[in-house]
Amino acid sequence: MSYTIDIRHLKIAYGRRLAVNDLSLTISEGESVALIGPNGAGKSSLLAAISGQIEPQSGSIVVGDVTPQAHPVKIKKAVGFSEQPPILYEFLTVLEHLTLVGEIRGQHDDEQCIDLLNTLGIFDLRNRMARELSFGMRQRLGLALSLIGDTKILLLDETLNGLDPKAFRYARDTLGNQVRQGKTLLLSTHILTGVERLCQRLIVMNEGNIVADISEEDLSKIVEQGPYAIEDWYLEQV
Amino acid sequence: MLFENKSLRKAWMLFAHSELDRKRQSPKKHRIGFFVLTLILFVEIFRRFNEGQEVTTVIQAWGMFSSLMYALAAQRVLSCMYWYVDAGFLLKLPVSGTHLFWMGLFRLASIVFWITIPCLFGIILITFLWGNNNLIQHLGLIGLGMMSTICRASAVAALAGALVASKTVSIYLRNVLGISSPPYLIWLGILPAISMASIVLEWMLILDDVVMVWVLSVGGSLGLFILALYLSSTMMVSGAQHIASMDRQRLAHVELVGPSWIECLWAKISIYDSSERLWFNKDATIMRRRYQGFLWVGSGLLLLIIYGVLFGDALMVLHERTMILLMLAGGWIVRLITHIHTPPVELSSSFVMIDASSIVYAKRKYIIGKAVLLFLLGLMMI
Repeated sequence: MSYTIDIRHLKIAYGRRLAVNDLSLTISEGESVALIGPNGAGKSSLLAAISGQIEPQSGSIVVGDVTPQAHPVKIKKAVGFSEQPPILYEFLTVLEHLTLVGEIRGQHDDEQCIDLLNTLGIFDLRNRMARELSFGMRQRLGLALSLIGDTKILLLDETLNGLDPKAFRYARDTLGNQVRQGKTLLLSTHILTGVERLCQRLIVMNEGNIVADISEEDLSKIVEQGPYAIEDWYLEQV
Repeated sequence: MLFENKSLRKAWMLFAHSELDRKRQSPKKHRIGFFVLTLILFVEIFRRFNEGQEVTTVIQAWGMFSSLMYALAAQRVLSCMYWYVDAGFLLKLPVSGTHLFWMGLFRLASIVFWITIPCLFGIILITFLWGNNNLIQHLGLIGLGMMSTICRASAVAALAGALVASKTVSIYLRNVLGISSPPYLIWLGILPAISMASIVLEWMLILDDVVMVWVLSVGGSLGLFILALYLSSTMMVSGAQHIASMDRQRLAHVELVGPSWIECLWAKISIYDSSERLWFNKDATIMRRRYQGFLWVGSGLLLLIIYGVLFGDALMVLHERTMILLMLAGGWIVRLITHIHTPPVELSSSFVMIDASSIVYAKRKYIIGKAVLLFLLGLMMI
């Protein structure tokens, strides 16, 4: 099965408010894409729709050859999703979360869990309940849950926000490894500094639609202009 | 395929984890309400015994109590199936509709089990005090009540979810009936309310030895259950998804659906802090949309009156007013007390800068307001 994401004329509305308006986008298998934009631009709604959690009003989303509406389980098996703040069972431990998600994905592997916890720097917290975790630790647990099993597409909604520098490095390295393994990454973020180290493509959303979509080459050119060039460029777009 | 072991195992695992989460959150608190109800029932039975009432009258009252208890349990089905705290977590996972259905059913079965305790002890006490000769029949009735509540309520919730998610129904409402924005969630109110009212009516008829009702009840519940199980594999995920996204859309913004005028008035009188009032408004909105108690209690009472008219005693409801008021008050108090301890589902407290004590204060005000309203309703009925 191919994991190319093909979105055509997507429209998502909450009551009268349009979150995503006539958006079309193709993300190839193995591509790593950063999705940036102001709050309320429609980034979270787009990610939730791709992962099959909300149903669009019109338009189509096809992942490979299936749609999230027709085959939600198939899509969710291939997609690792993490939102901000991650929705967790407040009174279950970190390890219990990983075990549950691993079992549900049908690929529970103790070694993978331990590796993930070590890579993300939360192994020592494995027996702590979610409610005892700080914001950054919860983010890392959310990320770990999205990586459990054999996921092919990672949809991360502001997962890197709010992490301390060490945790940020852990998370970025982990995601870098996942991208090198051929996974598709769609990362919604507000952190523009160093985004080029993880993503090959940058998409800017505003008011429910794409206002800029640049390739790795163009991204490198902007970054080369100076430390704040990417921020200046982004502000020009929105 | 529907009864595949793997499905049941996964559903059981999801249920076990969510139960573990709930039990760690409030160890034993959820059971207290059932023991309080048992105590209330015992006091009422002893009162009737001291008054020298006939065993048949007492058994009728016990039947009404039990039927209302099972109706209360059935009312919880939507929370078990769609509005559980972990709905957002589950929707991210590759969980099929059959898993969601079974998990909801396990949750409901656990509630029904606890509801059965006061009913069981009640009939045993009646047998002990009056020497009831039909204990086996009444125990059978409890078994039937358990089975029929679990099967019927879970089936009805699955069917309501399927109707919410059904494009055909939505097109029909839009094109044939001309409703531009169909009130999807109405299915979640109407169908469970009918199912709950039917539980009460069924118990009344069965206590009157209408044998046909036994057959219809068992057959109907099983038929609905099999249909729901079949539909759940295809419709349950989209149903849950629809309901969760409508919840996210409507309840995340309390200003979209405000409280009623009477609730606003109470909030103005009793709460001065605007952030606390925000929480009060949210609770009022959630409670009205989710726990449509008045709707089903009203339907139940209406059906009791219809039953009374059909079977020659139109004022049966009034004869049993003490019991009904007790049930109303008991049901609501249990519901509201558990509400205090329920963490906010849709809007995490970390999103809103309101400290925990203010949230508890707002919740208390809400409960007191409801209790006052209930008391006034009770006075009007008497």
